[in-house]
Amino acid sequence: MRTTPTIRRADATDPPEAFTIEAPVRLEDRVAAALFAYADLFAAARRRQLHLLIWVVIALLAMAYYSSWQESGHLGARAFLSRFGADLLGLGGLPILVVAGPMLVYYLIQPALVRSRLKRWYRDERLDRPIGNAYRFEPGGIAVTLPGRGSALACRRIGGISESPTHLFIRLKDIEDVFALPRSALSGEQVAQIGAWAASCHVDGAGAARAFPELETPPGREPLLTARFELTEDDRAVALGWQMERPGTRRRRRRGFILAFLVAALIPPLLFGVLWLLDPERVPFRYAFPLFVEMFASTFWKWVLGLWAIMTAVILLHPWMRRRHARQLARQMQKRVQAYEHEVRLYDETLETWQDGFCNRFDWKGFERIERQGDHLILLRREGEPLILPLRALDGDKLAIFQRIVDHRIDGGSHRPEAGT
Amino acid sequence: MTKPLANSIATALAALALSVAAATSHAETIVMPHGLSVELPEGWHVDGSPEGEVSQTGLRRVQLVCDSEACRKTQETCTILMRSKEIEGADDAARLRALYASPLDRYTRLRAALRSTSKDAEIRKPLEIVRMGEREWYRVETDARHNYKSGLFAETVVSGLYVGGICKTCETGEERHRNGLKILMSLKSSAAAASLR
Repeated sequence: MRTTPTIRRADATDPPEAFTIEAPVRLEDRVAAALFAYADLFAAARRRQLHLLIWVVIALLAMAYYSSWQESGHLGARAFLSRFGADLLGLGGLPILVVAGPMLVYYLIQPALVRSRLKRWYRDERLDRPIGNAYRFEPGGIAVTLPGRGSALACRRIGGISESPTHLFIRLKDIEDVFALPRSALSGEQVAQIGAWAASCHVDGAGAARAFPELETPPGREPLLTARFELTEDDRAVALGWQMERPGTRRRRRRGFILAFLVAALIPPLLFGVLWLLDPERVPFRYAFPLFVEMFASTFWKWVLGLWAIMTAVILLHPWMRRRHARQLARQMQKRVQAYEHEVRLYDETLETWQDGFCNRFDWKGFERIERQGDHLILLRREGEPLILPLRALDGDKLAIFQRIVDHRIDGGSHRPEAGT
Repeated sequence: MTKPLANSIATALAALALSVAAATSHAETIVMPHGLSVELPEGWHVDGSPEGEVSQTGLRRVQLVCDSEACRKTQETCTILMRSKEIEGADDAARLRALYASPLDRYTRLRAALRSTSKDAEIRKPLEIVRMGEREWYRVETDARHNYKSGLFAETVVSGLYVGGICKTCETGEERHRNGLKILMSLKSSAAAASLR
């Protein structure tokens, strides 16, 4: 199929022809999509680290400045500057190196850390197996079909396309997701086709006004239940809080805490070992070692206990810190997108979520179970991110109807909404 | 305390040394501040004032040098250090122990002793409490590399007063600091004598 004429025609007023592309979603595509979709949040987190680093260095420099000024005996700028320079290059500069060094390293490797954390998260959530997506590009929008699920977006919910060396991203308007098509699965021709489609089908393009038949409910198909709600900051905080309490995350957190305890026990001897190694006039090992052992027996264990006490306090405070973090992140995320009214429709075979120009269709058999988290229901899916449904959307007898419908459809009805922890 | 035999031998040796010193009796008594005095063997004299010089940190140093025939080869010198600030503690023995109660202090002491000896110096005698003359001293000896002076670093507490002695020598044999030890052993305090009376 030649696509060049299609592109020429797309430049005119005529809508381009519909076409379908099949592309896999593998672990790396999910990671790429998350990195792209939340690039601003990750960048902001990284910037915060840099700011913290700068302030810490300024504070340490100020301290060094003060002590140098005191020690230079107020003998003028020249004496001070030479003293200050000597202090910074000598032992006085060591705290700056010890504190700022690791912070700088952390700042530098942050993108790699984010990538590996995302990867771990998807693995823990069993989202690392590749699935095949079929993307149908139409003049009025895009329809994506994957096993057990379908999505449709009208052009007014398409933000446009972005390209990276590895992926072609289809940006979505006011939706915290992105379609990441791996370039390795696309031919040059297909990339050109998508480009031509995207030229008109986006929020400000000619396609925004076109209707998308996918998004029209066929007449006579009445839902068993309809629930409407607007996603608020609190809902997002609950969803984020839920994510932080996943088994994989908890396991890693526990492991991290245990590791921190072990590392804390090693810090004092390691610190002394490093200082000893750095000291050009160190006492030979055979004399120093018994003293080190004695230091551990007499003093270090107290430091270790102190560090452990601090860590225990952190662990005790951690649930509160997580909730606070979830709330902050929820606020940030809420600001990023315009709020739409969400509508959940329950049908005999499917559960559908609807927004203006955006619809998701999930087969009931794709759901695993339902967890209750306070005032929210979390609908867990076997393959994919869960759905969150605030109970306020199920007012009156809707909750009972919802439970009855769900009981029959999710795993033979054995799963009532469980009370979450 | 842990080595009564060694201590008694040391005491005996010290007594012997004292008697030798008394026998030769060329000794000259140097009276230093804080009512302290030492006896200098023949050929030794004070370099500068017996009052010594007080450093910024409050450490008083009295320099002793030897210019006898024997010292021409050994190049012996001693420095007596004093600190006017009284050390807290029940008695002098407890105060002396408190000087290096922490292993970090002992490490710093070793490091300082090695540093003031020479690069790549070795420890000849470890840092420990030994009896020299009438009192107990915290003593460490270093062995310098070729062409450097080895050191004897000793510290004691006399009626709450910190007194240190640093003796340096070019000697390399088994027996070193003979004069230096003699000087340190002769340390007397008139204050202690007065309190005894």
